[in-house]
Amino acid sequence: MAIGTYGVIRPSDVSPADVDIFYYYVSGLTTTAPVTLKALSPATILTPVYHNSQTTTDTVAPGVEILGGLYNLQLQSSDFSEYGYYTIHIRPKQIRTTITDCGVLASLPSVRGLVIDLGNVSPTDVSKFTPQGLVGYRIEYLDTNTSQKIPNFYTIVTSCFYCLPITSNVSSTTQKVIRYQYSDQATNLMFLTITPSSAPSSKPNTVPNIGTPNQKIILTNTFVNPTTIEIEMVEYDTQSLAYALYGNQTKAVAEGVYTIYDDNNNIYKQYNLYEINDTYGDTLYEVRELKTDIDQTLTFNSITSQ
Amino acid sequence: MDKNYYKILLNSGSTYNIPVWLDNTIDEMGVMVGFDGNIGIENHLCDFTYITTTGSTTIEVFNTADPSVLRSITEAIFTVNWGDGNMSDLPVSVSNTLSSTTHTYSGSGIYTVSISLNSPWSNQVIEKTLPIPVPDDVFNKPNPLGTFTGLTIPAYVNLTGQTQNYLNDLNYTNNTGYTTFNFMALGRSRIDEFQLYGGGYSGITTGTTDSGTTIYTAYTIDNLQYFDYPDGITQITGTTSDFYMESVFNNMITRNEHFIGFIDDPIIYSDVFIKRGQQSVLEQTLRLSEIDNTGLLQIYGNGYFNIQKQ
Repeated sequence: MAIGTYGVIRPSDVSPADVDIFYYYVSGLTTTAPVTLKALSPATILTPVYHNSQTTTDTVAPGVEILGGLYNLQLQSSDFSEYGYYTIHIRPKQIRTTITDCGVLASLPSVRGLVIDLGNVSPTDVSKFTPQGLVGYRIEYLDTNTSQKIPNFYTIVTSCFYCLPITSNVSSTTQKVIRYQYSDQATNLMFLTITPSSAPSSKPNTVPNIGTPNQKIILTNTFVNPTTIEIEMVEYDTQSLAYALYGNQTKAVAEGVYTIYDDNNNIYKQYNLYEINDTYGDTLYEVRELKTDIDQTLTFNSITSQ
Repeated sequence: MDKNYYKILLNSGSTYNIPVWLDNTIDEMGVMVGFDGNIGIENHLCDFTYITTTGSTTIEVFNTADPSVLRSITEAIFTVNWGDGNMSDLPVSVSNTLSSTTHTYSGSGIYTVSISLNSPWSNQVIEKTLPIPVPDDVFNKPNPLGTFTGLTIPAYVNLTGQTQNYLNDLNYTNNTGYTTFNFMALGRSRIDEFQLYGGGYSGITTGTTDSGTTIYTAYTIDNLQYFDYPDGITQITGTTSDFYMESVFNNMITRNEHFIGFIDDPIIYSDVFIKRGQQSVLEQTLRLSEIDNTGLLQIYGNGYFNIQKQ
């Protein structure tokens, strides 16, 4: 039995290389358009925040040690170019491979585990398959018939080492069986022990399901909790609305140009003001129309300094 | 505003920097069922060898701890307990030469010599029992690749004056095409069998020293000469015959192949130290001397053999 279960939430210090980032766009929350995910490059846009001299008294950590938890997500406007809602999904990176065998250790037949042929692992992910490099990874299984992920079923890797297949005699039969022996030298096979892998003491003849040979699996690290960020791309924010309400304004009466300035008295918006009269000269409408060709001579300072 | 919701003013040609908080919920699951009792890492960092001479009460102990393993163990202290109340420090060697220390016992007896490793993370002790002084009953085993001479065999084969150079004799290309191989081994006495079946076997001859003390009892069975010594050791010698060029293997053969069939019980010396290489941190590493039941012996076999009780 497990001697204890202890849980804690810690600031993640995950490497950007160990996460996937996807996003999708909808113009409004009432849209019924299907969700289309696009991938972003985590190594390019996700940057951890490092310690500095204010966060630690250590002389080595500044600029070297990840502070933990805090990251900067750098988004390009070319990817977020529409008004509306963008949903960004950050999750641990997934590695897909196939179970080569479900075997036992030659010296400890009670220890069952998965054998992974590193030849079935993507070259970009095979660097993770080092001794103990996959500990804590979650394994999810695909149904061999439907290729769909089996819902709500997963195991956790408790150890992984290089291994070699060896032929062993078994006492119950005269046949030889393949078992596995750990190898300190790098091999092309990796033996993963997972939990649970042994029978409960109350029912010793049962064998937990850890998968079957040739079954496809998804290995996912547990270095970071998946999270979702919603970004609303807007035309106005509270600051720009404050310019309209509380910013300096001028009205060139003769030209009929209405100008709104920002905090630094830069021209923020400019409007043409005019009236529409009937044939008798009576005013029918007063119009304020956004002016696209900004009259740069109407700066606040040049007007107020006259 | 929720930390996971941002409202950004659209501004083409810009880069938006968004702070993100990533956390990690972890569970420490403790020791799992499959590893109960087997997960302990047993790195045997502590070991020693020794040399002495026959009849001497002086022993030299070498610290054989692997410096490559211990290079980061700067606080490790090795102490030799000579078993007679004396102790000596024996630091691990940092060069290619094993560090050693010497001790002379004041009297004879059976002493338990141990070397202990004391460090903040591990304390280990290895013990070996030694008779002091070393008795003069050590069998002088010839080098199978060298030349041995001077064996006087009072039976049908007298090797006195003969020499045997296995490397040269196996090299039939440079020899005349005929050679006889002399070989010698340790085995079990078959004098009971000899006395039981008598006739077909050759007679018993007793070897004596100048003072008349019996030093061995010799007899011949199946053209092999057996020498039973008083200390229980049986020495077996023999020769091959009719080896001509055509029948000589053009390969080096191990001498053990000659012995199959007449050595019934292997002799295991208690001071022989066999240590199987550790395969990984999850496997038990057992010394031969640590095995006290068949289950452990099966683990020691590492899958290459199983133990079946008769």
